[in-house]
Amino acid sequence: MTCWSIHQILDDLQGAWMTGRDAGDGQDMDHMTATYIWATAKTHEVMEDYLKFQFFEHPAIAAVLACHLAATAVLPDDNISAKFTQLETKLTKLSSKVDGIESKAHACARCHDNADGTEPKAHNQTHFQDNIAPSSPILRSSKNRGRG
Amino acid sequence: MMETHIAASMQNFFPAPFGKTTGDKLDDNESLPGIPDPGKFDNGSAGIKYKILRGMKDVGSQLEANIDKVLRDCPDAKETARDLLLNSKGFIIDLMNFMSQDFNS
Repeated sequence: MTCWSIHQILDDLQGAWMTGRDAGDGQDMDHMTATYIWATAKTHEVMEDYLKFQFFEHPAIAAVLACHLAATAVLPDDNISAKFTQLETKLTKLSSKVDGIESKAHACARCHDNADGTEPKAHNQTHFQDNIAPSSPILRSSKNRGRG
Repeated sequence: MMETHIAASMQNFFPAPFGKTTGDKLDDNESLPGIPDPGKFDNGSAGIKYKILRGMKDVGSQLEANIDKVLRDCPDAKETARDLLLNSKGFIIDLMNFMSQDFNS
């Protein structure tokens, strides 16, 4: 923001000072001197303006602030809406994942129930670790500990 | 000599302490080439602000000497030139303070 303001101030000063660029090449000294004095006066007028408004309240700085806000502001509603959409998508994915795991667990339980009615608890746990959640880091580590 | 200085001053958009730039970088409002880190602008005697104000004293003395020398026979013009110099110094000091406040806010 400060850089934008400084650019604006320098731009204004440069604009005023550049009125002296038509001073000529020194052939007509009076014209050249008058042009430089005019450019100096114009530049000082710009400086005076900035000092009068204490920089912060100068209309040019206010315009810069408005431009900066327009360029960088994030509309709260849009942001919240986007976050909600993101969270909803994530929640949907997680629900699907949990549903899949639950279905697999039920299928596994039914399979063992049909086979012999009852089954050892340890076997059931091993089966779950190997077939249902082999990628789970917690279960994988517990499985490795058990085997090790 | 003086005319050359004045003509050269119209070529450079940035004052020397703020860095030099080429025409294609004029629209880059995000930074000042000479102040890559705003946090170091007002950093005691190592900051750019201090260097600018210290340099201003030297330049001010030189300009005052030039004014006295060139306009010694024109007291009104000399007084006007000194006033303008004083105004310019005041502007630079206020600009530096504005930058410090704005960088820190």
